[in-house]
Amino acid sequence: MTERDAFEIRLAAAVHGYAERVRSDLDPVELAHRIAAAEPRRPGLWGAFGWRPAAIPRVAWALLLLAALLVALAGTALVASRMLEIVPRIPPLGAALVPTGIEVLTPETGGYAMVVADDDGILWAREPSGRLARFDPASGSARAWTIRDDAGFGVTTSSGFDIVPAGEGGVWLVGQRTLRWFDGTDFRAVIDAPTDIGLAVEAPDGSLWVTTEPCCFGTDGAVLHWDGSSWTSLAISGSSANATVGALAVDAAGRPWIGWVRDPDPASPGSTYSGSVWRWEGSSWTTFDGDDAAALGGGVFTITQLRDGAVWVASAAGLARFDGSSWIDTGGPWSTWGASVADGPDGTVWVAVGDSGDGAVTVAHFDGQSWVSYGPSDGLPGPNASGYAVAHAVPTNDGVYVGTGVGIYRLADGRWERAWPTDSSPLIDIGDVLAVSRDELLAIDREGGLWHLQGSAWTREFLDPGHPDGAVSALTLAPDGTVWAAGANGVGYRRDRHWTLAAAGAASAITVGRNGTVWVGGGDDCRVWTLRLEGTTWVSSPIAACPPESFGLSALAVDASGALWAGTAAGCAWGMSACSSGGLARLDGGTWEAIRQIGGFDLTAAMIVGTTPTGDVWVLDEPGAAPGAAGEPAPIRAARFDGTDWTVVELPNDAVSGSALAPDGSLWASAWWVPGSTGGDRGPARHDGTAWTFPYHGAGLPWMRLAAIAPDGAVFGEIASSVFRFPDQTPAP
Amino acid sequence: MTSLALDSAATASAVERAVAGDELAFARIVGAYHLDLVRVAFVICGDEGLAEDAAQAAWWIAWRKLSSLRDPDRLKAWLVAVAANEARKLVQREHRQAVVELKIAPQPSTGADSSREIDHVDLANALGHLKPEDRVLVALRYGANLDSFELAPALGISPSGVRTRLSRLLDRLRKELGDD
Repeated sequence: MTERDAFEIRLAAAVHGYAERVRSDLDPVELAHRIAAAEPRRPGLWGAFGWRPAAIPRVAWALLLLAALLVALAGTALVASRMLEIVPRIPPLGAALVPTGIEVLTPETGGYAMVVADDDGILWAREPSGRLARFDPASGSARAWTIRDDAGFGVTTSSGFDIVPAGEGGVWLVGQRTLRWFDGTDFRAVIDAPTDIGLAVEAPDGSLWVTTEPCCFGTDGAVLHWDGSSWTSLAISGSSANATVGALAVDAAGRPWIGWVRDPDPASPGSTYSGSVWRWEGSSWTTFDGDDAAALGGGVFTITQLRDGAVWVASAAGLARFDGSSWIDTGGPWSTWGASVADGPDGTVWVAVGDSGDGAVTVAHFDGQSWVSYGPSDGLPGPNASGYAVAHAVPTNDGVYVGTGVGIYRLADGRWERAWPTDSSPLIDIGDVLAVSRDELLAIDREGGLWHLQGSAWTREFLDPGHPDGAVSALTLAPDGTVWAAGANGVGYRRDRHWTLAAAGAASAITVGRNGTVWVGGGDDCRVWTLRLEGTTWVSSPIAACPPESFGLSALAVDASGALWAGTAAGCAWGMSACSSGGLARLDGGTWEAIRQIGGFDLTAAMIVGTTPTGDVWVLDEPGAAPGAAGEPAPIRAARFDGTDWTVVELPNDAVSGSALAPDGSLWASAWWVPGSTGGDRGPARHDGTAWTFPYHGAGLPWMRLAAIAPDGAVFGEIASSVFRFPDQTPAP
Repeated sequence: MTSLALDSAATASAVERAVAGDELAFARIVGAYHLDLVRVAFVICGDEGLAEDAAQAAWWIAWRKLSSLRDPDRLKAWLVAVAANEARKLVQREHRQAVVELKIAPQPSTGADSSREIDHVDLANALGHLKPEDRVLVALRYGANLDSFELAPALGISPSGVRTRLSRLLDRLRKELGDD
């Protein structure tokens, strides 16, 4: 390998160029923190082990030593045999991770990579971004959890977990080395595997079977069985080079079946993936291949036993059925990868195929006599509609569903229609969030679009339906619970699900005083005015121009004395002597007083957080420290003005991504620390009047922006296009 | 992200401290090599999302098994091999070899004998026709610049076996890319 010919040099250059266009915005500090927090080093010798040898009972150690002795004596003969061998006993985790209860309130827009149904008929989907979604066909309700970002799930990557139906409801989340039985609320079992897991399935008796990934290039995998207390393994070594297990199932008799996928033979042009099916008979494998049924000769990705006892195998070469004594090739259009087979409550068979070529989905129904096929012309996703070649048929008592890469579809009156996600959902980044209650919030997207969430249903709303393009800039919750909004088309309020425009004219900031007066600011000429209801008419009264040398208004607040506070926006405008970096001003006797210093420190980039129920005003000053900036930033301070004095508190971290006031008037902030600094804790932090606490320490998502707190105390976070709701109670660290 | 290179002494120190549980030392290693891992994984997956997943999965393994690394000078070779294996597993798990959408813009010419450059679309197609194991070899050899002695332990074969396998692979790529 010391000399390269011209082709090899050009190949190396091309590979380099091909790979170098890939970028990553990963925060290494964040990832390192996540990993280290999830898997802290254990002190002492055993800390180097991925599992806990100290937890292994002496009996198991004796068995291990005996097994090692047998291996030494028997040499390769043992490896090549098909006997049952004992592997180290790995007990369920003593201190199981618990899900934090953080809910994802925004539906995934990128589709699903896997869909299964549990025994209760609940559909579970794995989303490409690392979420787990649960859809109840009976009620149409859905819920999603963040998996990759939630340390409580202990799953490392978005693609790195499978979902497998659990016999008593819920699903097994199959991570790299751990299986977690998740019922939608808690983990009911957490089981470590002794090696990396490939496929997993729960047997009718509740035990688990898994295939293992080849460990380290060239090492064969195995089939492992967890009987509830220990793992045993079936050696499958020597089966074939360049082959992997593509399917795993357990029949009603408890026998595991595996389907093989063998790589094409590079020496044979036109060679394709081949396969075979093995069934464990208790002491040896029975093998079936292309001589038994043509479909068994292709790479096998699906083995399913239906309720009538028939075993169906889907492969790259077709679909075959085993009635217990012989195989039958069923033919049909589904000779491709990614098929699923399921039987409905009426015993008929449904097959779904995610086409591996163009993303189109085909579903076929077999009533025992003939097949009926459905495709894009029947409402299923068409070519190029789905980035993921996934299609899982899920017949339930509430109809037939198929999970596809672009959502869950339901068959209704002969046509397929998408049941989830619904079409209405925020599709672009979320800006401001106003929480009305635990179950209701409003959000403004980056384009100024207004969205309303009630329960799990998002609805696009318009402040001025006559001008749907008018962007909304600000939201506020009045003391009487009415939501007000200001935007390009004016100012309005929401009542009984409808918006009413109270005043025309562009505005960028709005607040409602404790006496019900609506304060509005902004517009092309930047001014401040009030709105007051006289009879049935809202009357506008000019108050003042905006603070001098301000680019515009970002926020308004009214303190206990009735004085108006304005947060001015950063920016430049024609006629300004200098660009504004944003600031704080108080309207006192018709004249604006610029607030440049609080409690002895200079304000550099002050912003209004809000007003407490008692009329105290909170402001926050973050002097130029943005997450990711290099160097040690200046301290971030917050200050509370009670009408007379300022109380200054220093934030515990280097940067703040969001802030909000709780119903009790306490300040919350989502805190960061800049990579490279000494740092501190991260995540939503609460100042209780004397010190900062991190109520959700250990909950994961430390980089989540605190978005809003509802009057009932519900805390909401946000990342890009996702809104999250934190659990009521503080989760366990 | 921008990779922050570590010299030999800094690597040894970072590995030692990371093995001891120093999270920031581990972050420094991640910062230094993550992009290498993603790019190697991308050659195997042909998909940026999967490549990022593979690289991140590799860091979890690295955290667990860093103590098994006896020679810190082999850190990069070890890490990219782990990432390559994770990428290979992801490709097989997702069954997505045939559905990866090629999102490759026409490559700008460097001006030097552009008629002899290998087009990235052609390269991506050629890689797509290879077995994942062979893509691993391409990625580690030409993406990560590992030589046969570094590749041998990662692939579980001898250095001469690496050379033999690579020679056959090059013959195949020559045909795929129309260079024969």
